[in-house]
Amino acid sequence: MFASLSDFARRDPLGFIGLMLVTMILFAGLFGNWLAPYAPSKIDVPSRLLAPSWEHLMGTDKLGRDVFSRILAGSALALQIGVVTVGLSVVIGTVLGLIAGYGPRWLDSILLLIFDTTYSFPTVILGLALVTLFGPSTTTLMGLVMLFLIPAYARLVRSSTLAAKGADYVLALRSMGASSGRILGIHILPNVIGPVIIVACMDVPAIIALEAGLTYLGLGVPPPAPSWGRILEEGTGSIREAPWIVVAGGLPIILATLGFTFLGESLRDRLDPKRKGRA
Amino acid sequence: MSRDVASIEGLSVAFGRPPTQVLALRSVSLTLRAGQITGIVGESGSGKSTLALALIGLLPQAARVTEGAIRIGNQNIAGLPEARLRAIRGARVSMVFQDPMTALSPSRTIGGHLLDAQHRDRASGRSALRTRAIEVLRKVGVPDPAAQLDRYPHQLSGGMRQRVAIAMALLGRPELLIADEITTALDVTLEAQILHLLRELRSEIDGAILFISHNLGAIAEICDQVAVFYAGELVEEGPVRDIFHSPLHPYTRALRDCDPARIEGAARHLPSIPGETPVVRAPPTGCIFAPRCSLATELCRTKVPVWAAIAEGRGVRCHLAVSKT
Repeated sequence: MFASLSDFARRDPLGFIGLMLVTMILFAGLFGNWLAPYAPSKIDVPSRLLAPSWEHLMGTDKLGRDVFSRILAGSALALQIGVVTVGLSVVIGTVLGLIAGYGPRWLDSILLLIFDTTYSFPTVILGLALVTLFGPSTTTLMGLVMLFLIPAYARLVRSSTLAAKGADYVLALRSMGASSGRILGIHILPNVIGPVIIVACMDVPAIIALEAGLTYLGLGVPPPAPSWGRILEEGTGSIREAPWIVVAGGLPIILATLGFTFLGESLRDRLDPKRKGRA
Repeated sequence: MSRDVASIEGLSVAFGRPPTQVLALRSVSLTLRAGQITGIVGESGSGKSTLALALIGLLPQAARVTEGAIRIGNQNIAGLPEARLRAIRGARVSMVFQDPMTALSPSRTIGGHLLDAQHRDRASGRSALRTRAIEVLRKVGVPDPAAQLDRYPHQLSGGMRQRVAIAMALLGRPELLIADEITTALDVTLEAQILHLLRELRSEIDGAILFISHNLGAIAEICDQVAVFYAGELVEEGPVRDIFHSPLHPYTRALRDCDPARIEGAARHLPSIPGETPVVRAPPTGCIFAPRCSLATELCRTKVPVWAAIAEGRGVRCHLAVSKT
């Protein structure tokens, strides 16, 4: 791969920027609570709507809460919803996709029917129904997101597994007496996982944005949790007096989108075996 | 006569169900002996590959063995459950496929492939498996084997990949090595090298090699015994010299006469056998080759010729050849 970070930065600047941004977000998400100068939900009405200063890096909102602290705390939530749900979806979706693609045809038909059925529900409507049923919470939101991502990834893996199943090398492996588990795990998985990783990487920012959107509609994370979407939403109310709140709420979403997208593209180049060992 | 490694007895294989079924093999009997390379010649669709897959227990799901036995050693593997077949594949029977460009997994290194090929050996450590991988690569003529282990298939040439595929097949120390058109995708120089390698391996592996090809030159060069297939039937079998010098079946003769290598001088037209290989959906009522045979008589069209064993390892399925001798 790359000998050093500076080597990486020189050869693949976009990927490097992506990695830096993602690392930054991960860092903020993991240690945000310790780094934050103020408690994210601490209300301090006298100092409401303060402009950015050394004391309040991104100003304060209409309840006097420190926006920078809320952004930092929000990254943990964004990561939980973006990265954890996408990660879980990748694992479950890949396993289901491998089974559907390599297993017997009847199992494939059943799984495909399930994938297609869940896939055909409109996101927001099903979201409304689920939130009504279970009440708005982070768990409901994560479940909703996974309900949509798992079939998408499973279908992606299934189709590449079907292609790989017919490949000569699979027949060659079977001719050596390799078991199905062995063929799937060691040989088919690395050949089909690439596209899923890339799509998943690009999905992370979309999910973070979706969370913001659903939160805006009142379907997402309930207040006072400091989600980026909520900061953005609350900021719109005072956009004339304090435009920095909207900027501060939008900036991490933009940075996360760019970071994960750049990283995704870099990974795509890296995971394509035809490009390995070249460069 | 040396030990029988594998034999096929009256094997018939059909794909699908009537009326759209295809009778891919019909009453084929063939014995493969240790230390011998048996060549199988025939046009596309003659059942060569079906025979190979039957021998390694890898017939596709749509195929059924309708009669006969497939023996590896003394064991009949026709109809064995998958788990038992898996124990045979790669250990007693190995196979090398036609296209080396697609027969290796693109995301595994050469070393990964060769370690995987030894998946049955759980006792040896990684370094022992690695040493054996290097050894077998050297045996098949891969230069600088240790350095190749970390490379990916796409970094190797076609000839090298085919050598790697052969190395993988050898690692299980099989009694029967099936080479299914392994030189078809290679250019002539590489073909010659691979043929040379196979000939060396004949003495080295304690078993039989089944060499499937439609290149008569390659067959003539390395095989001891030759079986000629036509439309799912074994039409003639014999020692390589007999097949090429005194073929009995009109099809074998026609095939030999069509070999471009035999044509002297500049020919305007390549000779060919008129007609096409039939797709056999129902048991034929006469000789299967009769419609394309220039010598066919009324008898050929109405009566199915039976297999006539002329000598040990020599036989033919033809009315005319039998009446002549």
